Amino acid sequence: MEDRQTGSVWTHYDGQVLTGPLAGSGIELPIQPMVHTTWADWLNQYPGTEVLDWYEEYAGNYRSVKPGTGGIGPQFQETILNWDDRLEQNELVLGVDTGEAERAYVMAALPIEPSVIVDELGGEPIIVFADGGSSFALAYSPLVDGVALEFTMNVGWFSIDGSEWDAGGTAVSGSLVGTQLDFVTSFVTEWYGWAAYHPDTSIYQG
Amino acid sequence: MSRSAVFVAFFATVLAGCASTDVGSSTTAEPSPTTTTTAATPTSTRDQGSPQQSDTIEAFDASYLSLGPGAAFPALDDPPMVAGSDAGWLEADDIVLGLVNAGEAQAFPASQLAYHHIVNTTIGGEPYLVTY
Repeated sequence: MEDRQTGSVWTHYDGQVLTGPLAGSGIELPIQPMVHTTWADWLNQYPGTEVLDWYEEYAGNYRSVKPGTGGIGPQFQETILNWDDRLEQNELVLGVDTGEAERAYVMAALPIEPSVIVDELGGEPIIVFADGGSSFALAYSPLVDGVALEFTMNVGWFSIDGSEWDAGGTAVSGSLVGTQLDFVTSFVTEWYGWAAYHPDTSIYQG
Repeated sequence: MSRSAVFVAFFATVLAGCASTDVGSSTTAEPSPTTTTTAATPTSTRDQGSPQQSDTIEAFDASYLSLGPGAAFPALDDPPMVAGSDAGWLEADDIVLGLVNAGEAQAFPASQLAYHHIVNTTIGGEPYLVTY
């Protein structure tokens, strides 16, 4: 991505500058939690949502998208230097980057129902709110005031105090209502790009 | 290689999968990343060097293609949004990319972002760069 003011080139993988006048400046764009899910699930969670309008002038260029499928075109293949065959190249993963370590969670291996994965990455506890049925997952820190919250293994996203959490890492009911968990940089992506940018990534084994 | 040449080449590597499908390739390759960054006011810094810069350039061949920015995929600036109830073109299992800020929820269908790739917009009063 190129910014219009300086012409610097930014990577969407971690918001850093690759080349251009701002390279080496230390400036980076903070990545925000983006919910990758089905339209039905999103509308259910946020009935008042707005949606990017349909541009009739571009309609001929829009096409059905099924993330995680479709192969990689031969022309595009030749642009990728770091191949990693541990997973299928189009495998959909949640890529998590703590700044110290990276890990990929295979979306197809997630439970169909909403669930919480408790894990540790780069020496820090992390949790993943997941819903395999909706192709959703995002990572957060369970630390609240320096103490790691514990989560239930029940269906849904509940900490053991009974508070329920939403996809954005906010407690929406219970004694912790309104509490916001710290986001851990993460997004749903296809394996080939994640592995090319993060060759040292581990893969969650469950 | 000049900076601009590096840019043009790298940008193309990210988007080239779409280019191949747009011309009728038998296989499709979706652009991998689905991230959102707040734009306009880059503030945070990381207390480390920039080792990933070289890693990245080695990960993708930046000299391969020469597709220029905006040549094929028009980024959107402050695009019109409609109420969810009016998005009749969406099917229940279509993938969308959803964002919430300050109580404002916005959804960006993957089928549309797979063409535009970049949206400069405002959510909850703050600038966002949505990229796919």
